[in-house]
Amino acid sequence: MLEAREVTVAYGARPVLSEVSLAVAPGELVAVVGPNGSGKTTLLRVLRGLVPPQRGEVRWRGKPLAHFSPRELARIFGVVPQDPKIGFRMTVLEYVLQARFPHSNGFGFESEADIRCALSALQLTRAVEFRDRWITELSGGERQRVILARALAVEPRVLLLDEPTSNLDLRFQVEMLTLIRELTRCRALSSVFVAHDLNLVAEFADRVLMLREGRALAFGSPEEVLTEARLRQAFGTRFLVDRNPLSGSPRITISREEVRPPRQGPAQFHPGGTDDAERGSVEIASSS
Amino acid sequence: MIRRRPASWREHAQTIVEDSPIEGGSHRSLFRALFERGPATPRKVGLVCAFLGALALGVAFLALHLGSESVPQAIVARVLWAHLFGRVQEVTAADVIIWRIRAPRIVLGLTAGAALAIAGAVLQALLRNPLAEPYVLGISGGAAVGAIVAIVGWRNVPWARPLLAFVGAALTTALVYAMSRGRTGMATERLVLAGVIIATLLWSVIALVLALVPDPHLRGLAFWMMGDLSGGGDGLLPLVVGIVVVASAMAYTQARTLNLLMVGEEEARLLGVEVERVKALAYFAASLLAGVIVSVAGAIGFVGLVVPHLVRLLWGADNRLVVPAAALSGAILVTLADTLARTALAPRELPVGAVTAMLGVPIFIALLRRV
Repeated sequence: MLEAREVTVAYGARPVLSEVSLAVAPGELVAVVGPNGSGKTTLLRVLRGLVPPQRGEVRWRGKPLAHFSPRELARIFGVVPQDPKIGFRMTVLEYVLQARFPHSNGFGFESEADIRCALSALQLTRAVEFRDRWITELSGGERQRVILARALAVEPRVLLLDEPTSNLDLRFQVEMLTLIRELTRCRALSSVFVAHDLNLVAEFADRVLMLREGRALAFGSPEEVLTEARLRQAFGTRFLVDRNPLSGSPRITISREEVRPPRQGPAQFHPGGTDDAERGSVEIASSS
Repeated sequence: MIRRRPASWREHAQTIVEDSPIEGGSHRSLFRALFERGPATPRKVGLVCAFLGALALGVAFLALHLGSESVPQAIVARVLWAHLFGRVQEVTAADVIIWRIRAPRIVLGLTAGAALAIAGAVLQALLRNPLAEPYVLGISGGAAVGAIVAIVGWRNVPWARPLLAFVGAALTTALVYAMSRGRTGMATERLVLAGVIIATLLWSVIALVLALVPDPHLRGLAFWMMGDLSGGGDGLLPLVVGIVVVASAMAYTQARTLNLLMVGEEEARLLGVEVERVKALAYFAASLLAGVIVSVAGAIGFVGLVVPHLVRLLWGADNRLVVPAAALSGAILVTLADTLARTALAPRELPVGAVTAMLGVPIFIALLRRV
């Protein structure tokens, strides 16, 4: 059980998180949603123990994170960062093998068991066929799957994912989250992911934490949290929420009525211009 | 995506090993084994090091043989044999040339090349910047200032030169590091920029001192600034070799953690690396290596920059392989360059730093075009 109790974080005088509480049971997949700058990434960093909270604490199995050594923490958490930069040329297998570091003595070479573990993680994310390619020459989707494999190769108890689907096409978004959910279930992981696509969240998350300006607006099942009123409160714009006819979970439909960019001058009919304005509004709604 | 749920990671791993073999067949040729892609293994490191080590020994022998006066190879072999394994009966002219004059110089060249290449490899991995190396970051400049202070102030204390050179190198490293820390933490680009500026300043200070101070002991230093192995360590060779061995070992213990740092500091921290400790150790080792070499051989630029890249282009970026392979390749490059510097316009000598650049650049360009 991973627990955050009334965690408060401020960078300088600016509060980023205020008294956020969260509990993630083994086998549970929790989504964190909210507008840009609402503290989602900071929350993940606090949960991992990278940012010490000013007030409150994070506990793993009842013990505060501060009581664990860096190496112990590294064995508990598998982390998928948001778009890591990898400059040096190393092969995919080498990159994933690095995740075996916290299980080693810190020196020497990876064992054959480590290589097997890395390969199995790569196979889970269907990335094993590019094990010998340079990490720098992968496409965005391929990279994302390799990065997830790296997090899995830790053999973690907790999985923290910062926008794991941001670089993926629709099919891989669904595949990735199906995989994350399966793994969370069958390995009894406590998983937390940050996502912007509310429909994916509704479909896959067991529980949803909604943040706004560093405060928890709601924490509960997707049905409880993803309501029209709450979404309007969090994002400041209108959404239509009904049922997904395939799964019965909430379906969020964006509306472009309220998020139009401010117009200058009298409205004129410009086919190109109107089109741009519309596309802009859709982007604003879907990315926030 | 998961058809059958495996009971454990281990079991799942087992199923994978059956369909994707880790080791290839034994039919693979030695050449292909030497250049295969993939994670560094003890076998691969051993193979590469054996290959480069043999090459280094060959180059060292060639360097003993060649010179302003070429000594026949049989005599070189006999002199070496007598000194290494037997007893020296009489001191001949060949004996003096080979053992007293050329051998210390060659050992110094091998040591300098290895030390500078390791320092470069470590700094590049640490800063995730391909331009990082002792010369560019001002570490060599700081060491040179320290060495000049020792020459002017403590001429009679033999170990003052390496000591003050190390102090100069370490102070410069700390200064550059401090300069690069801003409000938003340390950016490696800023660190490199700060290093370049400090290096420029230090070398101009040295040039001014050499031009203005009439100290006769400083007159030869203009040549030394370009890299000069002719001193053969000036009696400090055992000390220099000892320090380089210790500092290299220190750097090598961090090879695996440097691999993780190469991906990013945050990523390394996520995997349990104590980043600040590793950085301190690596900076210390790099300063020690660069400082001690500059104090006896001057500033041989370029080796620390080009050799690690060359090795990475050939064998990938794993530091457990890059560090020893760069050390051996650096040793080879500097020894070759020095042999050329001694023989090309004999009896005149060229500054070895200029020759390392002229040898290294074409190799590097050729490799860059191929990859």
